[in-house]
Amino acid sequence: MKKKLLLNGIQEEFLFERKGSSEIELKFNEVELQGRQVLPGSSDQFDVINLGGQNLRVKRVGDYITINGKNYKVESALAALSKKSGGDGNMMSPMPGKILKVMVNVGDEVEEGQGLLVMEAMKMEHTIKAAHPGVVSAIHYQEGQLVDGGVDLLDLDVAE
Amino acid sequence: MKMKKFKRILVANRGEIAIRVMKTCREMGIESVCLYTDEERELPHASYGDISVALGSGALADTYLNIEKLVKICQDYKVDAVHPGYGLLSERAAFANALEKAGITLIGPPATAMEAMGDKKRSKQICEEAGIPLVPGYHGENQEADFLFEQAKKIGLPVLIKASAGGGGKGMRIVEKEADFLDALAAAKREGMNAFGDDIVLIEKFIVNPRHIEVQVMSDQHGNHFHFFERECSIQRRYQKIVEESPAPGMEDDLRQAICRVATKISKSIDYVGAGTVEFILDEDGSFYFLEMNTRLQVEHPVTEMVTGADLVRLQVEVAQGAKLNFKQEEIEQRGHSIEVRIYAEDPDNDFMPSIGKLLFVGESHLNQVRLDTGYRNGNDVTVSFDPMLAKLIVHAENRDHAIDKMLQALKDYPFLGLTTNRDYLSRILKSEPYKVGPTYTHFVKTYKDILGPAELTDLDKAQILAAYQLSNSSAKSPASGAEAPSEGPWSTLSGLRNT
Repeated sequence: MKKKLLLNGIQEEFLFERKGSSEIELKFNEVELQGRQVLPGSSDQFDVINLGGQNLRVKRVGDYITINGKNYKVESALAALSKKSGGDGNMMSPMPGKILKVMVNVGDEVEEGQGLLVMEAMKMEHTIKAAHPGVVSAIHYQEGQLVDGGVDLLDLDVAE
Repeated sequence: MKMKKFKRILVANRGEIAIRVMKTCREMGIESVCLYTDEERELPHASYGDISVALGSGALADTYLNIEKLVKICQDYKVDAVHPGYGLLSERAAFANALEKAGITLIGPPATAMEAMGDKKRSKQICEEAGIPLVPGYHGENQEADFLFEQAKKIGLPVLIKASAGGGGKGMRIVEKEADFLDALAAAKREGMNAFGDDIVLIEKFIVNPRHIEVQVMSDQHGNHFHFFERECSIQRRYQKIVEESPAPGMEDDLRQAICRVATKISKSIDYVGAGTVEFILDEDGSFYFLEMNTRLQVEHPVTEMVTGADLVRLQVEVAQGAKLNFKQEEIEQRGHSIEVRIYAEDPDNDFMPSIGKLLFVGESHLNQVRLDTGYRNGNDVTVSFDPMLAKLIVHAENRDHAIDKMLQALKDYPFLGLTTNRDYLSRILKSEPYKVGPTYTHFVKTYKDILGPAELTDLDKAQILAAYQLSNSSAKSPASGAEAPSEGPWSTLSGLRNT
């Protein structure tokens, strides 16, 4: 059957068949893999999965999975869709903090990468930069204000 | 001097360092009192001691930095001594004085030594008088922007602007072009004011290829001053160390001896007591300059413990009890090689932006001579309230190459699942050719930005991840994690049966 998952936020499509209770076959682009669960060593904190003859040490908790020491986020495409918010034209605060400085005015033309405002979060200063060239159409916060994470700080209209 | 024997120690700190200190208390048969705020109930340090005392909630000034409250707790719980850890009140002379007045021992240097070294300007004046080499710069009182600009031009760009009361990279700016000076000055002053309540800055010549070398010192109350060799801490991001090691790779023994001698000369010149760290900048030509002295236990002290075999916290406690350090300098040896990496909740591939979230799975290692100092357990929330350091991972091996290999495996053993961390980035540093070959300079992270980026996932990688996801059990239903279990995944229905 065909299946879709989000891998680190990017949707990937693959073919997937279950063979018995602990084996699968998977095809992604040109890569075909046969996989099965292996009983882990008694003191091993990881599950062991054999993919194409290779043993991988795996641990999955919810949407997060570690494979041979590397971590990934895997979500069902549907669940991720409902979380999506915010348009491309908005500059969001990455986390709760305080606005230290606003470096632009409404109507300013800005270049990609130009500093728009300075936030303090986790005791460090962060400069919020323009993700694309454009015109500042609204600024939602003033210097000194506290902001939550994930809120729109200012709107940037795409340049003509 | 009368020898004391502490029965109960208050640890005036939180997180990994509070636990680190309490471990030694346990080993020494000393009771410990630990502190926690309302937000920290779930964190391991809240219950690690023999007695837990709640600090309530609110700003740091009302909790961990509230001297009056802490002294009261010491009295209420009949505490003999206080270990301040690092950060927080560890270098506040006012705290040392308040404890002394209440008849409680501070496990640390006398207030006079803290005052002498706590202010970067004053510490430099003291070292200048003692004939210790300093980086050329302006450390004076005049704080007018135009005047400081003139000084910067006189020293010659590039220059470094630093908050006088600062530390940890806060309130610090490098200026390469004259046009950037005034903005950088304003930012440094603003950060200094916010972080330390003081916006006085100093200006120094910026050394192009510097190494950060520091020396662990330890002195008793009987005038004996020792060093426990050097640590190399050149790999930093945002002026904060992320990889530390001992010995310093490729350092000639003559240079090592010279730096360590200067460090003990400083501790002697200020009649230092307890554990301290003297930081130096080492230039490519072998000249080194005094940077600052930290009058406390340092975050990266474990690498020194690994190579010397000493328990620095135990030594601190014994010195505070009045004991004489009963060994000779020649008896302290560096054996093998130790590396520490700091695991941070941050995204190195997005300008090291701090991340927040729920820590779902820390992991564990069964390798020999691997140590994890952490203040978190599975299920803990990592919030914006404190520094985003999740853990320190330390390894020890017979030489540097072996230590690097061991660290790469140890990092795999501790996935720290659930939020974005710098783990993979640390692996990339350790695997990189410039790190393996050495020496490393403090601009390592910037210089090798291009080779330290993440590898693109291949189709095989992606196929493996998708297959592993389909095959793996999710242990999201474990009581500690509290995360919602996704309904798909073939074994999710069995997860209640598995003891993972």
